[in-house]
Amino acid sequence: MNSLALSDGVLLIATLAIIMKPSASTGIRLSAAVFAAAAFLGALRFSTLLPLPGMHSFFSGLGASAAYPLLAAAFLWPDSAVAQSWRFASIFLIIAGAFGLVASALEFNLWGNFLAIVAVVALLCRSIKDKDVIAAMGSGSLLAALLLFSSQFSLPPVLQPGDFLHLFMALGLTLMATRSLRFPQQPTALSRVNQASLD
Amino acid sequence: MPEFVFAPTIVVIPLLICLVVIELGVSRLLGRSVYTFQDSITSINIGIMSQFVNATGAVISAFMYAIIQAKYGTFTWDLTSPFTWIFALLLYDFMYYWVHRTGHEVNMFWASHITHHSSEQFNLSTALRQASTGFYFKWVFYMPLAILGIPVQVFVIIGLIDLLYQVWVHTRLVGRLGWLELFLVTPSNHRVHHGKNDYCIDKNYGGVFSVWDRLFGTYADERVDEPVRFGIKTPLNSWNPVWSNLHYWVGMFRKAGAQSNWRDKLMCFFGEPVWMPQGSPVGDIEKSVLTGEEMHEPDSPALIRLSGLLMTVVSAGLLVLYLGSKQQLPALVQIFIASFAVLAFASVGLLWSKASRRGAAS
Repeated sequence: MNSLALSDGVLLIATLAIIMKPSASTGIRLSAAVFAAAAFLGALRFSTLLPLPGMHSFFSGLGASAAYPLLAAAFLWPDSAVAQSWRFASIFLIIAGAFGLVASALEFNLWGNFLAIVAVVALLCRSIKDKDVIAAMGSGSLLAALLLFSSQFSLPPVLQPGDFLHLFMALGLTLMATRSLRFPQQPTALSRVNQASLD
Repeated sequence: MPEFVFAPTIVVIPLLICLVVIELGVSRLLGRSVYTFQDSITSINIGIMSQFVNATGAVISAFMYAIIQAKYGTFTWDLTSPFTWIFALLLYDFMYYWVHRTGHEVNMFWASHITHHSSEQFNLSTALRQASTGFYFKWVFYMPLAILGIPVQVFVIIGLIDLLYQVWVHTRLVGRLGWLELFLVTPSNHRVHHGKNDYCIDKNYGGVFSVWDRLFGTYADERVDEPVRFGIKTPLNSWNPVWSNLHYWVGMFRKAGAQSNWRDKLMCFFGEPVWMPQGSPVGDIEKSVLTGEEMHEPDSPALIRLSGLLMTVVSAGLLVLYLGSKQQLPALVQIFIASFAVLAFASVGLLWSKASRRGAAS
């Protein structure tokens, strides 16, 4: 059992908590589900219980290129169909995932990192604009996770770069979800129609 | 001169056309009218045109699959084990269910798939009526197979089997098939899929197995008391293969352009085909209303019919030659040939539609 398996476990618990909160919007829960899948596969991989590195890489890539943008869209436009309906959140995830796969096939590996950073910076700007301290701390944590991982920052022998990514992500997602749970959005007319007819 | 190289699709195309001719003969023997000349010729022409266009699209799909499989493929599969093939078929068919369902329930994907449903007849030629624009989104749904590591050759062969199975279910000459109806896609339950009766809408999406429909609540049995009427609720009324591929796209972009806000514009593409902005009069949208109970089969001069038939025979021959030699052709030449084929079909389709309108008017 190494530190990466443990920190992936922490991220898994944080994302599962978000998924199981019915008051979190659909878009946020779906993006958390992608992160949870990646964290679960990471915990299996790094604990050597069941190493599936290909699948872990795939879900990590999907998280960067699709789940981060979905998370940002769901927070920035909480009344939107993407935030409120399984149908539109899934379509968003599939299309963003398809672009991510094309970028991956073309060896354009910066695509996922670029989208994740743009999404998190957008969240941070919005939180600062709204003077929302908790959301700003949450999105700041998410940004720190990405930047520390990109710079391969580590504290040997205790923490590896991946640990910073997992732990700051867990903290950031939990804070962001807390923010969204504290002020749950009232369903709009459109979201009610979507929920009733499509979910 | 490029060398002719044999490929499975080269045999499949003439074989399918032969099956159409056999079904036509059998239906005549049984005294049942399941074919109309122009509709069938149009279906075959649409199919041939889609092969010209999709020959490149299919390569893109296989290319993406191979790359993703090599990059993320998790497990190693034994090609000699029946388990590999059975598992791959089940998973492929399961993903096909979702591709197909998305093709019906998301407007910008329906814009492609509507071509297949635009025939008012239901026979083997309808199976050939495939969209030329569908390849851009379908590949992504099969990526779970690639991530599981299923080899690309298994994916291609299983895909071909799944596709070929779906040909024979496009017939009115076969009735219900007893217990097979419980788990297989059959002519009976696929007739429901092609129906425009209310009970048929958005039902029976399965490719080979109907169990997916039963699992996800989209299964409907054919009703004895209500004959299935085939086609789409707003009839195409055109014999033009290019227009049959583009008409819904044009309508969708026009509808999106008419919306005043971004949410409604996006809903035009990603909403259900029945979606309309708030306050719009209901009635001018696909799937919401039945117009035109009569079939689009105006009389055309014999010369025009002959030209359509000739176009089919010549283009089928050219397609076989093209598919046999395309691997040695540069990509630009392939694009040029596909574009030329589309242009030729557009011209003949236009000529045919004009002649049909003149015939109908007189």
